[in-house]
Amino acid sequence: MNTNQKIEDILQSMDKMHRPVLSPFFTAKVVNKIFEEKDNVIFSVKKPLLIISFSILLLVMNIAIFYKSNRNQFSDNKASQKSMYEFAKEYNLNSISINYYNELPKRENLLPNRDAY
Amino acid sequence: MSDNLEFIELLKKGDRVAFTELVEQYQHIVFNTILSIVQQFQDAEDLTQEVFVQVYKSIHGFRGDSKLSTWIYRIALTKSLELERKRKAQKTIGFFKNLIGLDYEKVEVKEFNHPGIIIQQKENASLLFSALKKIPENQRIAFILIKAEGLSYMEVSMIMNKSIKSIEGLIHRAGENLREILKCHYKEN
Repeated sequence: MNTNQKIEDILQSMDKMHRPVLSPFFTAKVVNKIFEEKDNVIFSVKKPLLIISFSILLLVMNIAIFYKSNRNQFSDNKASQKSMYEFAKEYNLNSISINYYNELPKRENLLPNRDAY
Repeated sequence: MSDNLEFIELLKKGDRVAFTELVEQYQHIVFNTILSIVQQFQDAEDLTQEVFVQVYKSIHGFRGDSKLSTWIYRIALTKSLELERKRKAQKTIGFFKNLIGLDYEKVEVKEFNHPGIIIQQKENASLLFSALKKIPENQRIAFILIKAEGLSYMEVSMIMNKSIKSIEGLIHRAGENLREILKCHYKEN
């Protein structure tokens, strides 16, 4: 057989080839891989979201607890502090004695009973 | 069946049964095409898996302009050529590593025996696969799709996105180049 004939035979060698058969488990392996990756993708997308939402929740809870425990120092009490200041100013009292005088009846209310002493 | 719109819709919805059917139907053609290009059994099997994972990820982008098989062939070819380029890059890096005296483990090129070739043609086919590595990428793909996959010129033109005339030209040039390479082989031996 001359070289040219050999070459032509080589070029024809693929003509009668058939498709190789893969392992019977190949389909299951591939499908499992596809759906495992799908689950991983969902988890990898959701994981940061879960972390962020949990952090926000923790922050909100901390703020709520802090606010509740220090409620007296917040604006609720500012009005009464102001009124005590006004009270002290009205009666020419110094700030130390505010509580003491605040609990006493007003001077003019005491006057009618002066004779009783 | 595979080009049935209902079936494609099920694939788009991520239906497991539909994907199992798709893999069963296309695994052999994908594997054969990849194996003929990369010429390594294990790499071909891994790439076949990757092709189906890619199909799953990209099925939403499938508009149905072409047949599903054409689209899957394209993904298989892209994956195979990516691996080929990666191998070439590794070879180049290895060459330079060798030049500057760094240790480089040379990958031995084994003779490839396609499992689908009949016994009488094993030797000839092995020479042909070896020669195929030396011809340009486009010619090689066209040749493999027609000879190994038995596709028509029309189908190959759809897969490669070229006219039938261009495919005929590619096959003609592939034949000429292969003859030249094989002639050199016989002269050397």
